[in-house]
Amino acid sequence: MRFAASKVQGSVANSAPRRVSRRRRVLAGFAWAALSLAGLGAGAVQAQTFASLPSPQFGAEPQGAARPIAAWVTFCQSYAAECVVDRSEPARISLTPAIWATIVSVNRRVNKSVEPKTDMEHLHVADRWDLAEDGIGDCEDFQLLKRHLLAEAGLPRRAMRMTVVIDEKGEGHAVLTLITDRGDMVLDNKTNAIVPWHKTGYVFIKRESQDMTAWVSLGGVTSPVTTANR
Amino acid sequence: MPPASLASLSLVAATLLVATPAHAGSEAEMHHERWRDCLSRTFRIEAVLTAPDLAADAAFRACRSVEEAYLAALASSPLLDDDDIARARPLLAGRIRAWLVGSRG
Repeated sequence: MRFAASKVQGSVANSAPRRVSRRRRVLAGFAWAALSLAGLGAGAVQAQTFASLPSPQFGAEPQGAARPIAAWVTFCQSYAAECVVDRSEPARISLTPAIWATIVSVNRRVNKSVEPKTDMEHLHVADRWDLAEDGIGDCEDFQLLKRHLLAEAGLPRRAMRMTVVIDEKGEGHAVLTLITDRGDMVLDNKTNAIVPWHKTGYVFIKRESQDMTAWVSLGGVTSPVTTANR
Repeated sequence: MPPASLASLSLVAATLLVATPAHAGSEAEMHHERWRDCLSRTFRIEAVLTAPDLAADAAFRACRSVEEAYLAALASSPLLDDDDIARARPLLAGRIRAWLVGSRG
């Protein structure tokens, strides 16, 4: 899948190699399209309305350091800006109807646009994290792209953390946790529904730290109301 | 065995290997399903004779080897390390236990 060159003048570094510049143009084009869709869709059909958001809930609390994922380390070497933690950013997203509409739109748009394929099938490697620039990716690529687009839309990267869970099928899975004033909300490529973490049914293992470029353990917490299958 | 038969067997074996590539995610799912089925079957049998909590305890004891196979498959996920799985183990068991007892298997 390719996107038309964007009219948006992205912040491409002068010294960026041509390969990176082309990638940034593709991503900028996606961002432009996503934001346009968010603008058009703010008052239109929304699968989840801002009014239906829950009152503030407790989040999954970090419980010490966790070993980083090897492919994440490699990702951060290639996409340093995606991994830097800016502690001057808010640690929590203050949700408004407009921000929520953007989140819902980006989540749905990426879920629809990226073709799911395992890294082994796609790239013949066990695991690789990237921004699905060629339109193909697996779970972590979906969520990394969503975070990239939402950060470009102005949301604090620090409040959007990659998270590893064990899903309803008992498999390792990556989701994106948005830490908000309405609780921790989960963006997933398996569903367009954005739900509070404790309603996913997942077992939460670890997520990126909010204070440094590292991972923290979540201790395997799960929903107070658990099911073996959804 | 005649050479032609041996060659045919080799061809079939090679085809099976190509057609069923090792896939850590799918193996974890498969083993999780086996573990859940073992627990469910055993729980339903035990629950005829005893209280649900005790039936669940018996099911987990009986299905320990299936659980170990699942955890071994899960360990091959690039997203998880041994520490993650050790921390998650009781919560994974708790999740299924709640389902067993809540829905009677």
